[in-house]
Amino acid sequence: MLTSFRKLKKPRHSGVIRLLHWSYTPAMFASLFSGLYINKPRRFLGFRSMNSARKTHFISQFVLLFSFLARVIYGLQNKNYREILPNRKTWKNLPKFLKYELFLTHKNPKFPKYNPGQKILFSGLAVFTLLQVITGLGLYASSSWQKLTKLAGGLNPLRQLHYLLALVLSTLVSGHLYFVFTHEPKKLKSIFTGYE
Amino acid sequence: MKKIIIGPFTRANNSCAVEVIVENKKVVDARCKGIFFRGFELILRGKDPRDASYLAQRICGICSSAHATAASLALENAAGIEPPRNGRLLRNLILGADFLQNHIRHLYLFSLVDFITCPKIAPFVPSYSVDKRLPKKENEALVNHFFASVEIGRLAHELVALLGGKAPFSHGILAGGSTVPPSADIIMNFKAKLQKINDFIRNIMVPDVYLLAEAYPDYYEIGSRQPNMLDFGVFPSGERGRRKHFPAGAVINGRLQRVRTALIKEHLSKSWYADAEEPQQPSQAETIPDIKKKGAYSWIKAPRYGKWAMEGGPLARLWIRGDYRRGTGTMDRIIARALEAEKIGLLMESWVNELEPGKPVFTPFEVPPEAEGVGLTGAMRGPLGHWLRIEKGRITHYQVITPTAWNFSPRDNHGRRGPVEEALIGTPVANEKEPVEIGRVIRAFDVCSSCSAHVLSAGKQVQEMVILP
Amino acid sequence: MKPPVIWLGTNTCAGDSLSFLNAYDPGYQFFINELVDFRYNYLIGAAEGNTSIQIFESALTELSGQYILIVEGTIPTLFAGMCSIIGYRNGQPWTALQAVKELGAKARYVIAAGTCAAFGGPYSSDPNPTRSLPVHKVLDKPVINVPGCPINPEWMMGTLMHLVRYGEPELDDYNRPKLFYGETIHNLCQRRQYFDDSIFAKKPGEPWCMYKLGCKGPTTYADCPYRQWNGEHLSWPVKANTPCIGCTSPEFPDGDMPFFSHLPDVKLPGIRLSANRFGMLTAAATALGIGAHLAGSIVNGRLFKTWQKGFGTKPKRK
Repeated sequence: MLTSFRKLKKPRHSGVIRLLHWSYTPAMFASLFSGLYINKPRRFLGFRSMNSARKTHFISQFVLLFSFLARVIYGLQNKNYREILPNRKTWKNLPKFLKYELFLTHKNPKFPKYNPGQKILFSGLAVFTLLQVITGLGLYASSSWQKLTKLAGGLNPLRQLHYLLALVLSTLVSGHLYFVFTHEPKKLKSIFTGYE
Repeated sequence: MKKIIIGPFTRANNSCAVEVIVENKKVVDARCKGIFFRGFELILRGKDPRDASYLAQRICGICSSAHATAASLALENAAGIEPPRNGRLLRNLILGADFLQNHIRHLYLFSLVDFITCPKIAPFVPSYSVDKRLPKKENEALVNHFFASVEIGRLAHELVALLGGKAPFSHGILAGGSTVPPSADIIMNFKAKLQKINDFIRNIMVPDVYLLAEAYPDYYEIGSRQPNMLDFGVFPSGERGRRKHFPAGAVINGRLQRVRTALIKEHLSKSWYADAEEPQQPSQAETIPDIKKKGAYSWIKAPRYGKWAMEGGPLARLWIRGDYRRGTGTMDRIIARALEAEKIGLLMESWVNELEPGKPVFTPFEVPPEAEGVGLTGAMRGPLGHWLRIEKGRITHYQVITPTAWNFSPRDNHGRRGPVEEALIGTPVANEKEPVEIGRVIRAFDVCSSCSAHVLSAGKQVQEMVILP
Repeated sequence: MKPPVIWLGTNTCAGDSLSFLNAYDPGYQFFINELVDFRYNYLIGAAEGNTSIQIFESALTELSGQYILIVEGTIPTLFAGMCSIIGYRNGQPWTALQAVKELGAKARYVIAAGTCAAFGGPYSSDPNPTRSLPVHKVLDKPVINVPGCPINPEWMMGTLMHLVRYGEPELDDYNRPKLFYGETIHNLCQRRQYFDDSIFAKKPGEPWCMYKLGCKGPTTYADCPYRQWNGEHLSWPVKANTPCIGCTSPEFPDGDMPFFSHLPDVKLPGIRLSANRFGMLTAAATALGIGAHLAGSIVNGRLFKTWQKGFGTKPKRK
């Protein structure tokens, strides 16, 4: 019975999106914690040796890279990027959205699939993940990507950039986590089941 | 009357320039020109205080350990800590080895070339050929010693590397102590190498300077000046490092006094910096470079002790110790350098024996968020001081006064000459085309242009202190 | 014929010339007798004053296109270069800026000896008081960079030997010979196993991995761990139980400071923070922001309403 309903309505998140989401989510966390360990080795980050942290970082960075690339390709193919990238309307609606989120009004404005906050947050994640992957590759294969090192003004400045980008990414991820648990649990459900 | 400019004045640690007026084949006036400006103290601002002992070494390639020592002492003073006994001994050994390297290389590679006939091969040609007095056999021996000194100088740097990782710019001198724990193999290796160096100093270097003195006895007079000298003392000794193997002292007209840092003032009238109203303490001096200033001729400022132009270096230290007080001529400076090398070499042998394997070499410490510190030491060329202020855990103020700023200083605000300028007056110049005499007098001071090429920055007064001799 | 070499000292501490004198097998004597015609060096050449200027004049005329120019030090541009004067030519100061341009234009090869000449180094460090430039920014022709503070004598001797016997060595994107700067210190380090196993020194003087003391080995290309320093390859900074400070890197020293911290300070307008403190502050600010919003949602009753709705209703038929 339920399946027949599903055929009738387009799911909020397609199977591919959900699959990729659950592929880069753990990769992102693994990269983040192993990266923090590599930055400053401390046991509470869950690693016992630099070697295991580095291997984790190595594997997770590739999972992240490929699922990220696949997500970008999928987004482009299905014109799904239009739902995510902010447009003129997004900026116009932003004050209305912020007013509600800053508790200045009780009126909860209605938006298409994503509200302006989500759009900005997701696009930010996409841009900064891309930058992070590039700086990471620059650090990983520094001798063959030396032009990248040069662009950053040296290998250690590149390393600092990688660190600062990690801070930005973890801030965005924290925001995302907070909102999914406090705003509309049915949408949270949809990333597992596809349906609201 | 004829004006001679020697520029580049080579065989000094980075070139400088000198301008002399010759009348009746004698120097009647001289101007020492510092021809480099860097502003190193500005570079140190905003940096982590712990970095100063590594970064400040880059002021000078040949006396890097002395800058590391002064920087470490300044931070230790600010943090209120002391290195453990082993750490202090190791630092003495590294600094001592760098002294030996400096003195050996200075005598043979820089100074000796003015007195001997060198092989006819670049970089010894072209050069002056006048007034070479040594007989062929002795000359040949000295040429051989020249090349031997390259090996021995390298060996001295090996001692630095053994305890500090590399030389120049070793990593072994830092606030808190030193980093290579003494163990039997390192001590053994160090002693064996030191032995070779000491043999060279005792059997070759010291006899060589007396050989030169015999051939050029007039140079006991040439280059002499009033015995006004200064040193801050070097190589701490005793359980807490309060005493120094070479004590601090100020010599005025040949008489020894305690050093009072409050008497140190900087004069700017002949330097390419905007004038201050009156001579200032180094810690207060505001320095703005001004290349168009009328009458100025040097990048080096003129530090004075009271009204006296003070000379620093081995002769000053031996004079203060009472080991050598014959005179203040060019030969006296050369002899004192060799004798000091011999003395330091012997002291190092005893320091190695005092090392205790298994005991700590480094005292861990926290950098204080707000503090001031001063680090004074004797360096290869004379008194060296680093002044440091820390705010919010970072350097907000850093100052360096180097030995060459004293030795090679221009005239002060009252027109009184700097030490090298004083020493040059009366120097005979037989051939104006090849003024070899001038080079001999100046090089005996071991001028280091790298060190002096800096600027002191604005700031508050540092604490006044009196150093006991 | 041995190729002529002119070794010019601009704004330098002479550390590279001094380090070069530490060359061992072959040493200085072999160098001047067999390898090159060592026409000029400001530190150990016999010439001074006019005699030195004569050497430069003859290089610019008779030896044009033949000599190897080695430059040691940065080249200041403040006051039209008057912060560094090579000497007095026809009674006029000849600045390092003029000298490097003139001598560089007629040189067969130009080598930048040391990090100052190659990349700017300590003397052009922030705020660069003399507006100094490295050699390659002053000349319009390729410059072989042999960085290091100071250079390891073998890096220089090897580069010269390669030029004399085999022509130009293979260079990386920073024009450094790959022969000496082809791998990171970290990958060559004797203490690499300690790194992999997370056995770290907590203070200088301990015989373990220097990573937590800010070692720049992972971001520094040089062969110090293999080659080591002074004489018969005696030691190097990590062997002396101290961190590598990255002295062959183009970002040295600004990008490598603090030497005892992993990352450079974060410089914001009016304030300077260590990278890790900046990270903590970012985390704290994020937590604060989220916490404030959460509190708002609770007080407002919004959170309660949201949860009351639960996971939503069954999808409605359209």
